[in-house]
Amino acid sequence: MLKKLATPRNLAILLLVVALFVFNALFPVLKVPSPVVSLAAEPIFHIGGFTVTNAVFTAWLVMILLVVIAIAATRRIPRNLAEVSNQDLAPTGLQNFMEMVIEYVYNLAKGIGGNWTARFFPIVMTIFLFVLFSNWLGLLPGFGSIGILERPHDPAMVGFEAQGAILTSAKATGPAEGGHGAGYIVVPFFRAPSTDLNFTLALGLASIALVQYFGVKALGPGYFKKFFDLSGFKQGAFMGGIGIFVGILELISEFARILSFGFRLFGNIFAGEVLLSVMAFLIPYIASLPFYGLEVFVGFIQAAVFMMLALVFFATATVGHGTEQH
Amino acid sequence: MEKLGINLGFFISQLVNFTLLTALLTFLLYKPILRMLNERKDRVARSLADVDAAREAAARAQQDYDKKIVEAQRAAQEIIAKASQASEEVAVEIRAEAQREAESIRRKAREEAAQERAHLLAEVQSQIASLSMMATERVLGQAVDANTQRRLVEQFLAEIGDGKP
Repeated sequence: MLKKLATPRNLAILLLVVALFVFNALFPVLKVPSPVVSLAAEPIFHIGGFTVTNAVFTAWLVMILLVVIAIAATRRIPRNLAEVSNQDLAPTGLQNFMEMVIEYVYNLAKGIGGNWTARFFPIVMTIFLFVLFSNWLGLLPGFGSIGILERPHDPAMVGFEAQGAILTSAKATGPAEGGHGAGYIVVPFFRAPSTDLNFTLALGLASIALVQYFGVKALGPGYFKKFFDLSGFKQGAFMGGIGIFVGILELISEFARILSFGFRLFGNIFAGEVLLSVMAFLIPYIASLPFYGLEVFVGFIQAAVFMMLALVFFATATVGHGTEQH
Repeated sequence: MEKLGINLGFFISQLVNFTLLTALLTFLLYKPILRMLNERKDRVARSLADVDAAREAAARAQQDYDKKIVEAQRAAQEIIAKASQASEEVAVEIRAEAQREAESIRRKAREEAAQERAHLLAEVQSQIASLSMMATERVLGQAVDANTQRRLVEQFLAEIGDGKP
């Protein structure tokens, strides 16, 4: 086992790591600055009148990546399926893998959504892929570390000294000027969309809006009865009052779902990235490795959770509300 | 909200991103792949059904074949039986014919012999008659009246004929 690992390549990598250790000890230039946590995504450039933040930019990258994967995966699928021979239907490589993923999620959606699968599936599948790639992309090296050096926007904030293009760990000593803090901070080009509340809340809102849409589609205007339940008045003012109160609770819980959707994803992924950067700050090498593994896992789980919850909410909206079935 | 980075513009752009991505992936990924999966499922189901049908057909063919063999065997048996029966009949007929022919030949021969004998007898009788007439003439030295003589001879012959057979 050990002999197998001792290939020239691995030895070279080990040597490089050790060299980095030594280099870092001798020259503190490469010391990691203490992480600057920014809850908000930072603007990086403008297109016409629109400001583009790094999160929006990365979302576009994710979309491009997914579209490229989609094209690559479906490239070998023949157009005229009904006529081609059986051999042409044999999947290979990426197509095989995507088929597996899609079939798995499709069957899952079928198990929960039943007759509505055809409508639910594209949405939940896209949620899953979009969130998963957003989460995982944020783990790539360069995300959050490569960017533009800018002066802190908040005058009270103190940045770091920069040597050329590299930010050092030395706190800036210069005075704050022109409404900016002293020194520099990195505004990264790339930021996982999942660490931007706009992204997570947009997905949450879209999901809950679709829940209402599917509810109305399935039950007609009767769907809204669960929010404005006046049927209790037939049994007296007390029951009517309870009905209205329950309706208000339902309404609040619907809005709470948007928030819980948005903040769950944001919190998990953002916290993960903060954890990683803090670990990198404390112990620059190796120590953050297990946390990477953890974050890969969390990224997958959060994507799956978002998808499953959306699916379940869709499905429950299409079957009548409890009180109607009594 | 400002601190959290929530901003209507970015929010809407992410909504648009999601909608766009859903549409794109639906047409580029889900539809082709699901179409593919369905086609493959259909084909597998179809080929399995074909296999079942083929197996059934083979079993049916085997049954037919067995039935035909049995039938052919029975027919052959029948033909053989019929043939042997026919040959027996023919043999019987031939034997009967032969017997009949032999019988008729024998009868004819017997008849011919009888005729021959009658003929001979008649001849002998007439010779005897003329001989005895001649003898009588010689003995008597005179001719007996022809009529009387014939009557006598015939009487004599009749007596002989009565005693003879």
